[in-house]
Amino acid sequence: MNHALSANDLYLLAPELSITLLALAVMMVDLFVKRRAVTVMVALLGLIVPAAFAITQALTLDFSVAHHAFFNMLVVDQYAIFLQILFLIIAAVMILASYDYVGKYVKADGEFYTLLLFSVTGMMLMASTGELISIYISLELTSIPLYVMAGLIRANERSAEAAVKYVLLGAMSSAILLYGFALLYGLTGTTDLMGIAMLIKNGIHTGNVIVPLQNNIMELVAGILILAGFGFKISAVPFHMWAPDIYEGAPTPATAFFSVGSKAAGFAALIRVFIDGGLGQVNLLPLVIGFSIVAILTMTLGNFVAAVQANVKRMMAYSSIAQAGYILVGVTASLASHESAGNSAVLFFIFVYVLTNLGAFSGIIALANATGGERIEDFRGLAKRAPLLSLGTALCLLSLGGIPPMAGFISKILIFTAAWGQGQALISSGQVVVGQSLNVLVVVALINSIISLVYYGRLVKVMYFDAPLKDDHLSTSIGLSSSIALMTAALIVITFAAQLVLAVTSPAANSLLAFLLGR
Amino acid sequence: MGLSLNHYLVLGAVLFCIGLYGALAKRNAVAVLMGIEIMLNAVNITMVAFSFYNKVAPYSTYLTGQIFAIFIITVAAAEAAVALAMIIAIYRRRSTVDVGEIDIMKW
Repeated sequence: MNHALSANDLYLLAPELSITLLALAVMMVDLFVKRRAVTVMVALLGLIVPAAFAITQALTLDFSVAHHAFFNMLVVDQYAIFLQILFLIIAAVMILASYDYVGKYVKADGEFYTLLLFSVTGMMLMASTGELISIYISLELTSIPLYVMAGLIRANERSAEAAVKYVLLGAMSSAILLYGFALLYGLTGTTDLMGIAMLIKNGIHTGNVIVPLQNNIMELVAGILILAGFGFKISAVPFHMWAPDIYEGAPTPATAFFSVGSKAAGFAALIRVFIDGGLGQVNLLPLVIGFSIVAILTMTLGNFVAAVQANVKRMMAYSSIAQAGYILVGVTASLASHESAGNSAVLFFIFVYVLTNLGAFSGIIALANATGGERIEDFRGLAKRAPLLSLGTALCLLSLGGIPPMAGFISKILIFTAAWGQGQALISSGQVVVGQSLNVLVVVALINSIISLVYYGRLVKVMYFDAPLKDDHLSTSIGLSSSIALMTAALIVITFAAQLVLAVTSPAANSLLAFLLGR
Repeated sequence: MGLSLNHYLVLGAVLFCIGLYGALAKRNAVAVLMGIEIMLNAVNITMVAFSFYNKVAPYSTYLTGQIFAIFIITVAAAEAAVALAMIIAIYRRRSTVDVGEIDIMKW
C-alpha cells in the first residue's frame, strides 16, 4: 500500500481544501475590515475557486476507474461532484439572500458567513467520504456550525431556545448513529465502506471459517440505528421533533440553510452508507420495511400537520419534513434493487427541492422582512403590493406542491415511476413482499402529494386573491431579489430542460452503484 | 474465567441505555448533556473492545477502533463546549436550565 501523499490526492481534495481556506480568509477579512459588504464580496467571489476545482475534476477525471485518496477516506466520483456543486450553489444563494437580514438582526455578521462556509465544507465532505470515521467527522463539521447559527440572534429568546434544543437533540442523534457505526465496525472489522460491502456480500472470514451474514441480527440493528441517526439530520418522522421549533426560532436565512443544506447532506451520507456500504445485500426485507414505515410516517405527518400551521416558517418546516418522505421513497427503491433509476430520480429530486425551497424561503424572508410578520395572514394580498416577488415565491411553492408541468412535478413523477417499476420488477422476480411494500409506498406518496396542495395552494391563494392589508408598494433589496430571480429562472429552465439535469444525475447514480455491481 | 468480548459489549450496551434514559428523562439541560456523554463513552468502549478482539483477516492488525474512539472523544469535547455555551446563553435570558420550562415554541 502506498502511504505517501501524492499531488493527485491533493488535487482530489482541492474543492474542500479551497473552501476551508476561504472560510479562514473570510474570518480574517471580517477581523480587519469591519464592513459587511467586503466580507460578503470575498465570500461570494471566493466560492468560484472550489466550484472551479469541482468542475475541472468533473471534466478532466476519467470516471471509468475509481478515484480514491487517503486510504479510501476520500472517494471522488460523479455522485460526490454533483452534490458538491449543489452545496456550493446553496452557499452562494444563502450568502446573497442573507445579506440584509444578517445586517438587520444578527449582530455577528462575519461569524455568520464563516460558520456557513465551514458547514458547507462538512457537507461537501459528507458527499465524498467512503469511510465511517470521516463520515462522522464531516457530519459533526456540518452540524456544530449549524447549532451556533441557530443561536446567533442572542437578544432573542426563541433563537436561544432553538439552539439549545438543536444542540442537545443533535448530539443525541450522533450518539445513536455512532452506536450503529460501532456495531457495523464490530461485525465487519473495518470502517471502509467498500470493505464493509465486500464482507457483507461474501460473509466474514474468522480463522478458517466463513460466517455468512444472512439473518444476522447485529447487521439489522446496526442498519436501524444508522437510519435513526441520519433520520434526525433529514428530519424524518419520528426523529423530526426538533425541526419545527428550530425552523421557527432560528434566524430565517439559517432556517433556509438547515432545510436544504443539512437535509441534502444527510441524504448524501445516508445513501452513501446504505448503498455503497451494501447494507441491503442481506436482511433486505426488514430494512425495506423499516425504511417504508419511516417514509410513510414522514410524508403523512409532515403533510397533515403542515396544513394546520399558522406560522409560515413552521409550515415550511413541516413541508420540508414531507419532502424528505418523498426522497425516502426513492432511497427505499434503490436500496431494494440496485437499479440506477431510483438513485438518479433521488438526485434529481434533491436538486429541484434545493432550488425551489431556496427560492420559496428567499421569497418568504423578503416578504416577512417587508411586512414585519411571519403569519399566513400577514401575506394577504401581497401580489398587489409586491407583484414580482410574489410571482417568484408562488412559482416555487407550486413547484414544491408538484403542480404540472413544473419541475417539482417532473421530479415527483420520476421518483414514483422508478419506485413503482422496481416494485413490479421485484414482484415478478419472486421478492413479492419487498416489491409490494414499494408499491404501497408509491400509492401513499401519491395521496400525500395531493394533500400537500392544500397548504401550498392556500399560501398562494392568500397572496393572490385576498384583499391587501395596506395599499402600498413593497420594495426589497438587491441580494434577496436576485436570489429569488435566479432560483425562479433555474426552476423554469429545469421545467423545460429536465433532460439536461438528468444527463448529469444518471451517471452520478451509476457511479454510486459501480462498485456494488462489480463494474 | 477471564474477560471476553461479550463482557465489554454488555457493559457498552448497558451504559448506552443508561445514557439514553438520562438524556430523555432528565429535566436539567446539563444532566441531559451528561447522559449524552455517557452514550458516547458507551460507544467508545464498544469500539475499543471490537478493535481489540478483531479477528477479520486483513483488518485484525489495524487500530481503527481505537482511532475512532479518540476522534469521538475529541469531537464530543467540541460538542460539549458548544452545548454548554448555549445553555449559559439561555440561562442568562430565562434564569432556568430546565428543559421542561424552555418551551416558548410548541406545536
